[in-house]
Amino acid sequence: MNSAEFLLWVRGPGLNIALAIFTIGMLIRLLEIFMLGRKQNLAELRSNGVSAGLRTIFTRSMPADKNSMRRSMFTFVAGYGFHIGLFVAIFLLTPHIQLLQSLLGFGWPALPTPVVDLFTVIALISLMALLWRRLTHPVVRYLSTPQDYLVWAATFLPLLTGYMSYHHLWFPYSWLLGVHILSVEFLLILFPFSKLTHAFTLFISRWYTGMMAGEKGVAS
Amino acid sequence: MTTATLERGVQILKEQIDAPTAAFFSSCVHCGMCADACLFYTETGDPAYTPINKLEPMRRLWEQEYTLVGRIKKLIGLSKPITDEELGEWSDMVYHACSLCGRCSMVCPVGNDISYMIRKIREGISAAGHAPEGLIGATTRAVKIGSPMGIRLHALQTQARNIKESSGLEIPFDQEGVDTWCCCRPWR
Amino acid sequence: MNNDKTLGEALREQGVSRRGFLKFCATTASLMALPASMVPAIAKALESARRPSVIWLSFQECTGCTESLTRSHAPTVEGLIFDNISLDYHHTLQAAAGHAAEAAREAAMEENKGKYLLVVDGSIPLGNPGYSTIAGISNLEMLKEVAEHAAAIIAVGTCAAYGGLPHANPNPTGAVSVEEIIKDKPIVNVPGCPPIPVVITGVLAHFLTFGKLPELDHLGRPLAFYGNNIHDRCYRRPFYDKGLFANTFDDEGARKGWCLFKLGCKGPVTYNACATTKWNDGTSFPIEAGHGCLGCSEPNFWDMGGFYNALSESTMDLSRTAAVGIAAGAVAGAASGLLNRRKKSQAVTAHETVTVNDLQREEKS
Repeated sequence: MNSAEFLLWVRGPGLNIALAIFTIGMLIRLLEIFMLGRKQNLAELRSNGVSAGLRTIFTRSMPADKNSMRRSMFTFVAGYGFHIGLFVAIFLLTPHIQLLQSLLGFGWPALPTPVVDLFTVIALISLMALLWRRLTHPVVRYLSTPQDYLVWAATFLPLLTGYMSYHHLWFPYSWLLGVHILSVEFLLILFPFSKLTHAFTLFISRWYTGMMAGEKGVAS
Repeated sequence: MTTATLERGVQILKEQIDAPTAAFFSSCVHCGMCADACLFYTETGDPAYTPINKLEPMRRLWEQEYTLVGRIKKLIGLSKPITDEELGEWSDMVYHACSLCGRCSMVCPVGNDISYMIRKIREGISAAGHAPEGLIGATTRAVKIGSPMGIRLHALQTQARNIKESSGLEIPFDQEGVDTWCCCRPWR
Repeated sequence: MNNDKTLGEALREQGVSRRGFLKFCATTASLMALPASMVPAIAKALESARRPSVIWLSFQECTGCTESLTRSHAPTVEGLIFDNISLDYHHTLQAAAGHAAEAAREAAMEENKGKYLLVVDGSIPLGNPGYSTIAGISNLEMLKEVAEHAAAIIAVGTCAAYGGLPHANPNPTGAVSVEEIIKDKPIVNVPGCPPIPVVITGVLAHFLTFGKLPELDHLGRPLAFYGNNIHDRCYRRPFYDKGLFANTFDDEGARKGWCLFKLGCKGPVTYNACATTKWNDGTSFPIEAGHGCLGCSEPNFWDMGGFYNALSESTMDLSRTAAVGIAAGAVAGAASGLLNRRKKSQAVTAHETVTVNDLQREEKS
């Protein structure tokens, strides 16, 4: 297969297969969660928990207090460096916005490409730092399974190949672009069957935790 | 005749797993921030005390029973079943190495209420017969004898008489409408 | 069909000065990325070359390639060189017609057996030989017959090189390229819709000089002309790099000459010489005129996802896939969720109250 055929496949059938698996898998996971339900809380509720739940979805993005931030400073800084860089790279780069626009029917303004490039570098460095931590810190190494490393690679590769594509690094551009799209397809297929589901389920978790705390009348 | 078995424990764990639990397990990314908050970890440095790790048997059960992928893995023989030894090992983790203080639940960035789940896994571990000896003893004494320390009514009444003799304080027993409420505490 | 004159003699007869001739050789050398020391060799070879016999077969084509290659606004040396090969068969340019034309072809093939160059434009239909015939002979048969004793084949235009327009989805005629049929002859692909004129004369010049075809890329195209993609040589590249794009035709960005990525430019994945050599003697090329590159020198460029859809978009309808996925996921998820509920309610039903007698294991009590 030459690079032209490869690129046509990843832009066509490849992307559609990956998107199908992603949507089907995520919906299955979400319904599997919701349909388990929650036992009715028979205690007298201090509040109905709705506003607490909604508020917690946002407040959990910040550390609980200064002490917690200090204790988890590395995770906090590297975690945000990675996530913010990733979101800027995915959602604020013109070619990606074009793609999303064709899917959603609407688009939004982009950042200048060199700015996105900088955020991509921050994301890549943060990811490498997080891998180093996963390999060396006793707690994180203890918790880690092969899936953690696979997910790391699946997240790292699109960023790396995207960076390489933009800078035309080392390989012919058509191949780089094809490999970049393929790496995203791999990420999409892995998504519903790994911890990547947190991208969606974290809202559910934060909601439940906030709601249950609100029902008890305590902070969350 | 006892009915504490592994199957009983697993069955109770299955009951305990609900939508919040499923959401929590789906969201954990193994970041380790819960360990940073847990005093059992920070004071000992033992990574096994990472709060989310204390829930591992229940997480595996959730995956095997309540997710499509887990069910498929179980069908093709790729999943590790929950064993009795495992529940026995985890007993210390969830009873002696957790005070349900909730610090882990407060710091989890994806919003997992870990202490909520610790309370649930205790239900399963105790039904499987792996609750700590001391707790089993105290519970049994409380139900069968009347107090966790094993103090009988006779001994209590004697103590009430001694108190009345030395201080003149009358301790009412089973009387409606009294002004004072006394409670006993262990005397060392 | 007079082959006695050498190429040099013929050029001089047409008024091309020695200086003009050498200038052409130097240009050809530099276009082919050959060292300056090769210029005398090229000059000597072209000077004394016997006008090679060229048979040009036109199959399922639009004649655009011929139009492009024979277009000379002013007599250029490329045009003259082209006029001075012995073009023994060409539908558009030949004087003969009917039986006489076919006879000329057969005579040229016989006289120059093993030495003539076969140029093909247009694709070959395999669906039904009757879709495209010449003098009652199907394209497929004629190609095989003429290719058999050709020295080399030049597939001019994307149709001959990769199937081109007829090959586009759903390919009703079963159109294929030359290289899908002929496997035992050297083939050079000179794609483009149409190709740039100087590319073919460069290939011919190389062949005449060295007796073999120039170095080719993995798609059979001369590296000298197809070695870089448009994007890497585009004068609007700084705008791409800065993230300045035209959003619609004739908006502010378009008028300022910003990058045409969002308007569907396929420059990043298109290999051709348009951005450097340009068209009409270096006048302009599509992007400079304000329209995104179509990718016309690439295989399947008609099916690359739409000329006005950006390269980053899918070639298929993603929203439909997403909608189907969500629907299917909802069904499968409901099924899995129901299984969960059933399993849980079974566990709840099986619940037996844990009394104080149930806390100890048998072996412990």
